[in-house]
Amino acid sequence: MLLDDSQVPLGPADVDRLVGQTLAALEPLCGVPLQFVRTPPETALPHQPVVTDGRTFGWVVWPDGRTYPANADAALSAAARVLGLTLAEQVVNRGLADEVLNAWDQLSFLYQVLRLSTTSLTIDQLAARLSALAMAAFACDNAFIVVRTGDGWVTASANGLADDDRLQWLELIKSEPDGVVVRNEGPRAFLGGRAPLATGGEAAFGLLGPAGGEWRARDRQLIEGLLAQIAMLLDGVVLQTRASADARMRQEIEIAAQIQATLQPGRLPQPPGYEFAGMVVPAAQVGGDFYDVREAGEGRIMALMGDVAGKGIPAAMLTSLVRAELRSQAAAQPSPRWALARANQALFPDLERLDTFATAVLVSLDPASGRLELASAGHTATLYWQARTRTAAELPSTGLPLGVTGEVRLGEQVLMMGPGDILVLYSDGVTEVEDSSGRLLGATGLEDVLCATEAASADVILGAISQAVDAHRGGAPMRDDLAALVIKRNGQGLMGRCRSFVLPATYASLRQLEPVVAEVLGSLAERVGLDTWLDETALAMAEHLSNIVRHAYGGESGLISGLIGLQGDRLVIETVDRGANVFDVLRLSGEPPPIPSLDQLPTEGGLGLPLIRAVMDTLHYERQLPGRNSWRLTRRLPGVQ
Amino acid sequence: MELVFHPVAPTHNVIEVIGRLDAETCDGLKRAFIDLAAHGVRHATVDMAAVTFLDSSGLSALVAGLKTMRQAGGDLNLAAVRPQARTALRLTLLDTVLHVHDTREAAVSALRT
Repeated sequence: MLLDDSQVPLGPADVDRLVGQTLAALEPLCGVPLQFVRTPPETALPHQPVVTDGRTFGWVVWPDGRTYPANADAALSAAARVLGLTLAEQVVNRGLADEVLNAWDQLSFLYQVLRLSTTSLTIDQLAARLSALAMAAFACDNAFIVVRTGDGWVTASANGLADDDRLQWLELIKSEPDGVVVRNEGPRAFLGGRAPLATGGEAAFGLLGPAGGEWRARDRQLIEGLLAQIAMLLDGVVLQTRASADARMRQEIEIAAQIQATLQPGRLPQPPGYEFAGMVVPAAQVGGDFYDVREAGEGRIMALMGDVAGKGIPAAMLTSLVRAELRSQAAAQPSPRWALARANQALFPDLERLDTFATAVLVSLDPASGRLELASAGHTATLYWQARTRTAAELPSTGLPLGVTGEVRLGEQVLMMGPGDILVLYSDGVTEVEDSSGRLLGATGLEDVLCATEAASADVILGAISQAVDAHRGGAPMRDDLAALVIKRNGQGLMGRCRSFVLPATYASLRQLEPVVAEVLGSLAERVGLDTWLDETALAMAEHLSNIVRHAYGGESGLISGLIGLQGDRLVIETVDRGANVFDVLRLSGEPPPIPSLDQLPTEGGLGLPLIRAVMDTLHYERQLPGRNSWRLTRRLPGVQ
Repeated sequence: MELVFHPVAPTHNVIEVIGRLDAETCDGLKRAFIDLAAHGVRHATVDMAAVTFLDSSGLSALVAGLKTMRQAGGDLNLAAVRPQARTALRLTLLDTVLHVHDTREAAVSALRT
């Protein structure tokens, strides 16, 4: 409540009562009832002013019609002094009483503020309540509060406040270095301040006093305390809101992930002569990538892969829808291009409404003939590895993605899968994975893997693709979903037990391959007398890999893809690298060198290649476009002549 | 890879190699031979009992040591070579040039004569 020192906190009625009582008590002393008037008397009657604290309350007058003695003035003065003292005392008492009431109001306000912390309010509601409470507790014209959090702004005022006015007061508050403003000049008194929020942002609070009113030093202290309280309250609400939002979101994601998990393809059909292997690894718990392989009647196999744009739950929900639609169309339509076109028609309204799109590739395979039809709605190019030429072709998209236009026309690609041929459907998360310098793995990186692992089964090839992504990425976190589907037509020379690898070309990481030869041999390795054979083979492999590190990559960074396995009666080591073509192919032919004389002995390397040739039975090197070294080393297994 | 030096005479040193002797670690051994020769050592016996892996780079370092000692008027031999290292020596035919003894003592006395 405002206490205005220019006003006497006593009403006229109080004054009249007090004066009447006092003058009545003085009457016996004066002998006459003295009068009290507020305005200066015009008569010649004796009179004296009643003064308190330098202010004139009124005048004491000798009653009219009475004779007055010589000491009338003295008596009047005395009476005036008594009145003045009495009134002054009342003013003080009343002032004290008012202050007690004032303090009570403010404590009551604080109490209300504290009580608000036990209710569950939003920030908007809290702001509105605070400003209403403040206006009542401080008996001012208006109270406003402005809260800035990480999520935005909230403003509230008890009595309506124009934006311009509010901005003006905020500027004033900002201009104060210690955050509290007491301004009594101007059309209205203003008391305000700001406090930072521990959760980020800040709160500003302002009280607008009535015209002519004044804020006092004591009010300033109160505001400081109040600001701290308000800030704490707001922090509490912000934290509570965040915590419950987080909890809700986590729960939703859990549920969505469970739904998605049940929609995984499960065991894929494996028609005779072919192998299918696929994987989906979402970057977050739910993702937009999916694949599927199904029998489609008449012995046909239908395989599809898709990628719904966007992240999180909306994309995941849409993924289920898109997948279901594609499945049913692929089963119903004879050719992939019609299936995708029909799926687009059906999905377009939903995709358009949600302002998103999806890419998809659909493949129809006739296992008996090897005839494969492919249509792609904007999906990442499919890789087609041909065993005969040992080269890969990229089969690009044949039309627009799903959800872009209502009617879409798609082209179709037809090829005949031969023995040993491999088709890889994949999402851009695979080829667009970045290393520490921002370089992409690319389709060429995938081709390296196929070149090294083409003799292995589809699931080993798939595992190697996953290894390539990990090796290329290094320690960086996965940003995108990964999806890949490998379709292989079996050929001759399928690898038996084998291990694939894709590793950085450093001595340290290649050391982990040393036990692999023994692992691949399995129980064979435990036979007596195998130690020497194993030592020799492991040493030859180590020399070969060292040569790639030192000579092909010259110490520069790069990846080595490879496969170590059993093929018939041989151990086979295949490696692929993108190093320089430094090997003198001619050195690979011809006999091992005779025992060198001491002078001819090399002291800087140069012993590796003869060692490899002394151990391995065959050594084959191929330089491929673009810039790929492909090695194949074989050794007959022990006990085989 | 660790090297431990055991002098048996002012001009004869036993070098114990512990760990892998390969492309990453061979330079250390090469430098050691040069240091020893600079300090007047002519005979070196390399004790291979604790060598876990030897490849062509490690062999190059041993060959470098052999040349260094021969140039100084002395010789180099190997002791207690484990099977994996023996395989490496055999495959490169270097076992004809780098002589191997079963024990450190045998290798040391072979050089004393």
